[in-house]
Amino acid sequence: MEESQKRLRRRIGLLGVFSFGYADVGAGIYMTLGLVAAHAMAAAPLAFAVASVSYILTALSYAELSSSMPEAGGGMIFAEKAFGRFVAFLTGWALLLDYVVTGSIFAMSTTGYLGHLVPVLKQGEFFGLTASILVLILVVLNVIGIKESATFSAVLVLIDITGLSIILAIGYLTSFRPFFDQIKLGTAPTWDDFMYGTTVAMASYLGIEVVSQAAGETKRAGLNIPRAVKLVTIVVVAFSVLFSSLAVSVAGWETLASSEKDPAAVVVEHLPFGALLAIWISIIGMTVCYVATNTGIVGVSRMAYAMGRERMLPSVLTDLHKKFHTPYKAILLFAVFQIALAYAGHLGLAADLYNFGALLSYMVVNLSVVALRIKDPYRYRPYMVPGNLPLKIKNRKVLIPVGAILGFFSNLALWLMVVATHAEGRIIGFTWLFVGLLLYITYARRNPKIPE
Amino acid sequence: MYIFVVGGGRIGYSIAEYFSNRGDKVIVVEKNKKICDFLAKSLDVTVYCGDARSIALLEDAEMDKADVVFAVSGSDTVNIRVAEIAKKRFGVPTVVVRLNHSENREKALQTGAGHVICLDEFADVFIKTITESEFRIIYDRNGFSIAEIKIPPDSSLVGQNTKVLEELEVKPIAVFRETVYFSPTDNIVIEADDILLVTGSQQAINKLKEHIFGAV
Repeated sequence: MEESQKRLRRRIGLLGVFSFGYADVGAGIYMTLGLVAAHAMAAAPLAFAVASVSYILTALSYAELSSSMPEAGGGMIFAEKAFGRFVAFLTGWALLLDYVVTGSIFAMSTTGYLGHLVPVLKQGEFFGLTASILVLILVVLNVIGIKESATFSAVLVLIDITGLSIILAIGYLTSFRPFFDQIKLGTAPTWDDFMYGTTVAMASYLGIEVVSQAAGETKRAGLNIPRAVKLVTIVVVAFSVLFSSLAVSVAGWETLASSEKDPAAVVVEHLPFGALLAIWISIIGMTVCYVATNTGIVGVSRMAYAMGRERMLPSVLTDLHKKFHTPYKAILLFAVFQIALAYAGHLGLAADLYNFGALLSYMVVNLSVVALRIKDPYRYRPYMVPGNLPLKIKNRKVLIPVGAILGFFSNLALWLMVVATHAEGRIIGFTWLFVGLLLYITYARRNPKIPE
Repeated sequence: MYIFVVGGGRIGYSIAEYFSNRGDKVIVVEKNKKICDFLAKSLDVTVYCGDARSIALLEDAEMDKADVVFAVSGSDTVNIRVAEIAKKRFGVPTVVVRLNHSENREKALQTGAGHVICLDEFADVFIKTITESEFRIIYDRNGFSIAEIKIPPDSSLVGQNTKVLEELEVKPIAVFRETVYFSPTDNIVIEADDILLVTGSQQAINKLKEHIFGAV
């Protein structure tokens, strides 16, 4: 597969790629806290903890793959190396769904926190309308070609981490009360609800794909990508579990469940200086979520462009604007879906769709680790997924990565849960896959990549 | 360009570093795991860890797609074998071989490698920093040479007019003295530490060298 980042100068260091990843993942907790509590009730922190296991295993798989292939990254590239063009297409297509949803779902979160400051925006029609306008603004900026600066990302990440740390400190020192007697696993919440809450929690752990795609532009990727992945994982899991625990303790899960649009602000209102802290966290949350929205819009165009270059999708998607030199056709085509989804204002559906695509691609990534250990055993892997079983396959000594296999199964379990319990997500998700399959048969299979 | 480096030691490392900084795609094959780890973490290159003579490894590493193979490990045998595989099996356009011993040059060239560099000839480079500071051939073609000569203080030429060079069958082109330059039409008396540019047949230039510095 053509490395689409052939002569990209490596500019990003460890802090840069960490900021990149965190800016995407860190926004997750602001978005999912209310939804998770709505299903897992007081066991919300447990849901985050369980989801984090699956996430950590997948993140480590990404770390191994990205650090051993420093020229380019992302699930689609790994899938192609491991399984060939068809699986690569499916993975890219699933990721495309994810980026579309990312662009919409975080626009909704942004609106939610904006709505904490301007309450009318949270009500009824205004919610979807505001969210879709927010998407539109970013779409226009992206078509014109205004880029998000790495410095801005880094500063934002710093402010977010500092802000959350301070709030956690205040919360735990002043207001935290143990609530574990409220958790009655099996009845309140039921196992089904708990598992569903776990799948929603998984939606907040995105962004590792973004880190991996940055590998081609990162200095000393073999060293920095594993470090960035581990750092992002530790910080995000810690924050998610700690913040959700604090949230249930001070606000109660019922309050959280009914504030799916701005849960973090509602939580913080229950702390000393609550009103002030709520404004502060709303501003941070808004900004972080808006950056994550942009990740979705940029991600869509990059993915569509990459697939267009590989001739998996019609090459019209690779057309650049005459004046702005941006892949405006790719941006605009998918912007239609992003705006529509944002306008619908249905956070739950968006989370379902997100999980549908993400868990599929995570499964492929986990399996790719295994496949490549067998297919490409001599490649040096600066970081290897833990749990390695030596086996002899075709007379070669191969190390089977148990961690990656566990990752696959945990993602599979979560995916089946989403598909089994939520009809809307299932229908739209499979429709998306079906459309993809049609595209593959009619276009991608007939147009092999032009050899260089 | 796709650069394929076999051997991750001092030479391989420097080559890999140069091309990866330039933005080319670089693969390094190295046997020692610790060095592989060092390479993967300090450079932006893909590393394959194992014996470079293994065809399976070279296939996995896609040597067939390489534009250049540098066979620069510490072993002449390995380098020659790798060059042979690169040329004959994978048809790599350019192959550069490092040798420790110039006696193996013939064998290396037989593989079809376009460039063979022998490290034992590098001793010459060190020696010439001394010897060539006084006498250097800067042009050598079609039987004629141009030489650059720094006149030692005890030379018989000191105090003589440049016209004496014609008796030695060489023609002076220029004389450089500190910051000044003289053309041969000027009437010049040679001084110690002058730098002379002279031209003549290769034999005449060699005789001039012997005349000034003694036989080698």
